[in-house]
Amino acid sequence: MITRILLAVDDSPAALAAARTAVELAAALGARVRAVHVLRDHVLSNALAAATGQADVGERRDVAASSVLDHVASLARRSGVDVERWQLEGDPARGILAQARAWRADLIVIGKSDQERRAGEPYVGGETANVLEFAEQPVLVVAPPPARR
Amino acid sequence: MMAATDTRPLVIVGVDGSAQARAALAWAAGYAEATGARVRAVIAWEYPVGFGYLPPAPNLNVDFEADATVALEQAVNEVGKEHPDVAIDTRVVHGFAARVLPEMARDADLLVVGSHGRGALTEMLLGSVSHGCVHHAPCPVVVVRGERAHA
Repeated sequence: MITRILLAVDDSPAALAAARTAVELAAALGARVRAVHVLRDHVLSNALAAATGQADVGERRDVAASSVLDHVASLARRSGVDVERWQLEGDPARGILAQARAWRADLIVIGKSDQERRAGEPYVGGETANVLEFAEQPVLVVAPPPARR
Repeated sequence: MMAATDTRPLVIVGVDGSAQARAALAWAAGYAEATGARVRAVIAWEYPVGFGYLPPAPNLNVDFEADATVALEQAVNEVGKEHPDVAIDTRVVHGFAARVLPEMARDADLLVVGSHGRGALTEMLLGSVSHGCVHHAPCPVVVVRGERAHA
């Protein structure tokens, strides 16, 4: 039933929780995982570099992204799950949706952002909200681990 | 029966009689079949709300709870036929689904909802119930699309 799980990750705690859920599910179902990380346009990197005076911002973001995918890959390997790593660039929600459609994913797994909690209200996150609204596949939303107080 | 000692993962599904909810229930049953989980189908019902000086509802003898129960049983029977090996129990709860479902999901491993229920407005892509569930459920939430024609 579910043979292709598209896992959308960034470097947030929720994304790591989503990765764990996706890998567990894939192990239980014998499904494959495609882990997708979308790096925002280099336009942003260039702007960051200009603003911070650090020319290697883009490069460091690439490294951070690839370490997230490394983490997912090692998680999957330990569970005997077949995982492909995909690094895209551009608008995250759009990239995730296009990838899900092209690969004919049965399920999208994505983390619920733990940022921007306003007035105690949990916040889904803009990219996750976009994916939820426009995905043609079922979307599994995973909350970040509860904050330690 | 074996509820207290049942150690199988629990999947909660919101049902409201809509096609989207039916798709959510079918997805949950398929998931449960594949993973050895059990399913709890939940319908939340409410009295209709009127605002301002409206005439009384034409028929106050409607038993909303009984109607909800029938809608739930019907959905479960249909989906159950396709997944005879999956244990599906039911709950009929009074309240707003966006509040009831996250609460019911407190002891659950997964909550499954349709992207829209019966209150679908075309311009609202994600319904208020699925939205509330994604925001407030303590467990992972799956939002399932109903049958929809793709160009």
